[in-house]
Amino acid sequence: MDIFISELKRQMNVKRFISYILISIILGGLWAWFIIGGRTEGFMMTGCYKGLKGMEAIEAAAKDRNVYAGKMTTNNFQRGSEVLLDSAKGKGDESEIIMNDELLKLEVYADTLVTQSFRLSRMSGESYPKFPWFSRDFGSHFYENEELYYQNLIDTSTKNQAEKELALKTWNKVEKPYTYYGGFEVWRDGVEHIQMFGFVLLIIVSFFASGIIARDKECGLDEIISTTSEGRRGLLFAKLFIPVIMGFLIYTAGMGTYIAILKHFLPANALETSIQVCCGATILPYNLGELMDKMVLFGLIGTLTISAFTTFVSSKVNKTSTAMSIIVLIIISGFLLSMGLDDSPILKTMSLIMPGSLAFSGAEFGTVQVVSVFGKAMMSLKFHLFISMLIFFISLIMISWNYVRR
Amino acid sequence: MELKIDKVTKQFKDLKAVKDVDLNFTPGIWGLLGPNGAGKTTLMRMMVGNLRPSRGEIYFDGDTIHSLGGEYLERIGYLPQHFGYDKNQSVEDFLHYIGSLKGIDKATRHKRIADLLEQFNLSDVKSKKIDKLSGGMKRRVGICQAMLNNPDILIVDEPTAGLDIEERRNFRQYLTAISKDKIVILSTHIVSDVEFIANYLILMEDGAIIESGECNTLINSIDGMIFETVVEDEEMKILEQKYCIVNFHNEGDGKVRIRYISKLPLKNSKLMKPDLNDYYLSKVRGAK
Repeated sequence: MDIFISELKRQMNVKRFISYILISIILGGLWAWFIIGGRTEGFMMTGCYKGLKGMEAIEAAAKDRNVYAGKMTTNNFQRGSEVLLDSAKGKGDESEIIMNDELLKLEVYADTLVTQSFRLSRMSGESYPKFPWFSRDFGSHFYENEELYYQNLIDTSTKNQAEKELALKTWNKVEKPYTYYGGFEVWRDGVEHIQMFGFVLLIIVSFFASGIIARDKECGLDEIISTTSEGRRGLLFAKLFIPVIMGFLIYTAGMGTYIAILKHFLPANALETSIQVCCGATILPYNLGELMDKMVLFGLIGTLTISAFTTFVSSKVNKTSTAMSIIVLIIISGFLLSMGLDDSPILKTMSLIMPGSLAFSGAEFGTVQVVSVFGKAMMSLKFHLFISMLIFFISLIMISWNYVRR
Repeated sequence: MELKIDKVTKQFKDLKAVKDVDLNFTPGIWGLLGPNGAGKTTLMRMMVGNLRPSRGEIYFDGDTIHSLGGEYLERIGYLPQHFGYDKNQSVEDFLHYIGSLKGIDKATRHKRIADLLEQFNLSDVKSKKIDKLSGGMKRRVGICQAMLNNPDILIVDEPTAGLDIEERRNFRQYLTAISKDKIVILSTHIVSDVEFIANYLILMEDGAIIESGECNTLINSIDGMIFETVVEDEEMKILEQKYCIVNFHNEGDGKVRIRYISKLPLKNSKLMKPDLNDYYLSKVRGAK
């Protein structure tokens, strides 16, 4: 314990510790301010809420949209389709929506219906629908159409029966009718940014962890450490877990500040919104709040994985800058691979095995992300989580092996 | 107490850094002398267990240092050639850090550190960051950390590199003061570092031991072979090829005073008393 505390004091001296934590907190604050402060609202280029920005725009839009908030019933969808069609003037490309009070209140329904109409057209191989995008009774068939769309999506996205069954089982858990509350749009942006902010925090953590062993070798201290009776063996526990502890603290401070500010300013009930309404097509049975919790948790696990992996790289190289360069390259690769490259199985596999990439697993919450591993179907997220944990533990084992052997 | 190096060889890919070294260390100050690249550091790194010999073994009181492990490390103190420290640590924090790694309990550590800081005149700078200290002070901190566990064997590699004359003299004094009943092995390429303090001398070149033994005995072995004379400037080139010239001084008017090693002196040469420098150069260059 004496050695652990000595090493802890060396690695986390007050100035260094405060700098890392403070940077994370400041970034969290700035990021939240960017999400909230820069927010503008609108609907299909109608110019509603024009001139409003930040909390003013969020509150104004939420007030209107909350009139029909809660369970999204078929009746409300039907009313939404009628009001939208009645508000539109012109034909085809010349069409224009004239905003009115009722449409402002039913905006979420109208928007969801237009999206569904687009999805159905794409599903049946037709070109994107032009005004009027759908028939007058389109809203009354919303949930039937959802069922049709998701059944088709599952059919086309799964490779075998096991995957299909798992996807259907997951989809059937989705609560219908959907739910929404005003303000979910800004929350959705906030949740999407967890990955981006996580990327920055991962870089900060890697800066801290890359020197944990390499710096000792670089400055020659390791030469003295290894001639002491406790030596590297005595230090091992500290070398393994200080970067993990620091990773945890940096992530918690940064992401905690970010989420706390969002929670303080944004409407809490908007987190009950079904992710099918706000986050594109997905079969996962979560609401926005659950999605946020999972993304934060996955970000944390990704951070801990990168802490352990960085320490492993630090134990292999002789210079902090080399370790830092390798890790930054790995984080950037993981980030880029996770962004929209899910059509290529090779790139997808690469993105799954990149250390720390669990922090960028947002895309895996979308569409039908099921994988088959040795014939067994599982949600891509679970598999990614498993791989990440594996990398974490293998890294710890490899550090021990590298560091203690002479 | 005996540290025995038994036919130790260290091979790095194509380079044989240490070749079949046989040595027996007993208490006293041992000067390990040799030009840069002679293999001194490699030999020392093997002695502290940082490198494993490719062949041969190192024994401490009959057991291999590898089998003794931590038990051996508890009894050594090591100051490497490039003394490494954490830039952000103060002198006291650094010594506590190394003390904890040496398994010294907190109370003993506090007392030992206070004593060493006092002994090495570092008490006034104990709260200063090591990085802010002068070269000599840093080296003193280095020797303090090596002495923390009051070791039986103290191994210091090029401890005076980069120090000025006064600091070097002070350092020699410190080493002499702490050497009682210990094996102190001091590696250097600076002859004067060992001249006044070493009881024993080991000469190394190209990874091999050229000579080893008691200092005075070794120096006396060239007694009657050191001469001084004045020669013409233009004769120097020929004389350099024939004799091992250990020193020369320009006397003006095209004359040069030379000090050389030879069994057959030049005319008008004066017999001189040999010193370690003469002995070192006679062995490293080889007397003609």
